Amino acid sequence: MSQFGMQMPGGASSRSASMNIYTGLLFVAVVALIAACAWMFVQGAKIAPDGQPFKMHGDKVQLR
Amino acid sequence: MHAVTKILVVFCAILCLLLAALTMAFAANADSIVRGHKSMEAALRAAETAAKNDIAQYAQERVNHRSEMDKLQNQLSQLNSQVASLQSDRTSLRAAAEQAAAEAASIRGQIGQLTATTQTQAAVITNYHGEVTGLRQELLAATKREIELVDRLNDLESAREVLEQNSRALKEQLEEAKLAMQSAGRTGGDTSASDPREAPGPLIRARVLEIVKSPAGEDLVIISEGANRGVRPNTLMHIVRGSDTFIGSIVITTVEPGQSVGRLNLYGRQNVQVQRDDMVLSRLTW
Repeated sequence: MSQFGMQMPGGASSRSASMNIYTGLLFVAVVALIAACAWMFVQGAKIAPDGQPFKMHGDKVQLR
Repeated sequence: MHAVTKILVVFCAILCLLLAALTMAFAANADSIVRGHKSMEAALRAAETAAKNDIAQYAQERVNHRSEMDKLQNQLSQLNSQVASLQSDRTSLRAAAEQAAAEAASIRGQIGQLTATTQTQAAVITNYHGEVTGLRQELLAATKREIELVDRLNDLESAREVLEQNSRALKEQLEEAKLAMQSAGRTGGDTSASDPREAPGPLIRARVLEIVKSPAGEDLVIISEGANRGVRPNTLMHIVRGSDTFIGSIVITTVEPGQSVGRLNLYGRQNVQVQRDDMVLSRLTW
């Protein structure tokens, strides 16, 4: 019944979650991970075959 | 938990996964590259070693090639000198060949001239041969004719000698007959005691062989001719010495075919003696 805004007894009032310090830390971590991924992508593209950082070299190394 | 937080958590997880994947791929590629780099270094070292060996070998070959090049250079210089000498020889030989060709041409000309001369001489010789043949035949005919004439001349000469002998014999017979008639006229026909006389006919020459004494003490002279040369008994012969010394005379008393004996008459001269090999003549003038 709470969906209808009725105050039921024994029901605690639900409070909405708010952003806290962890949210900020996660945000900073996400930003750092994005930067790390971009940097790794660029550097991996330098040493990967065909400039694709997820491809790996076989027996023969081919650089651009 | 706030929705943003949740979304960030999800993003964070996704990004972590993405970063892990990128990191693994990067690590694998880096490992491959490092291994390749090491193998390339090893290959590079081997290549460097081989290059050093090749360089040493090339240096040795270069030295060898340089020495060979020097040798070839020397050979080239020698060949150049030989070429120069051969060119000079070729020039001299070419000049000699031209000279020889000129000499050959002149010799050919001389041969032609000599051929013409030979043909002319052959014609002349042929003419001479004909002439000589004719002359030889004429000479043979003349020789035959001369032989015939000589034979005829010899025949005539022998006939003349025979006639002369006959004439001489007839003259001797006539002389003897005349002497016999004269003796018969003086002695009334007794011819046995006739005087000694000189032998008619050709002069008789003889030599004194020996002087002997007869039992009666007379000097007898043996001479070297007899009846074979016409010496007759009672023939008067004269002894001379040298060309003009008269010694004496002999009267033939005995006649043999090869020698005769005569009685010596020195006409009273005592200082004259007959010697061996004195000349005896049938008469003093001839």
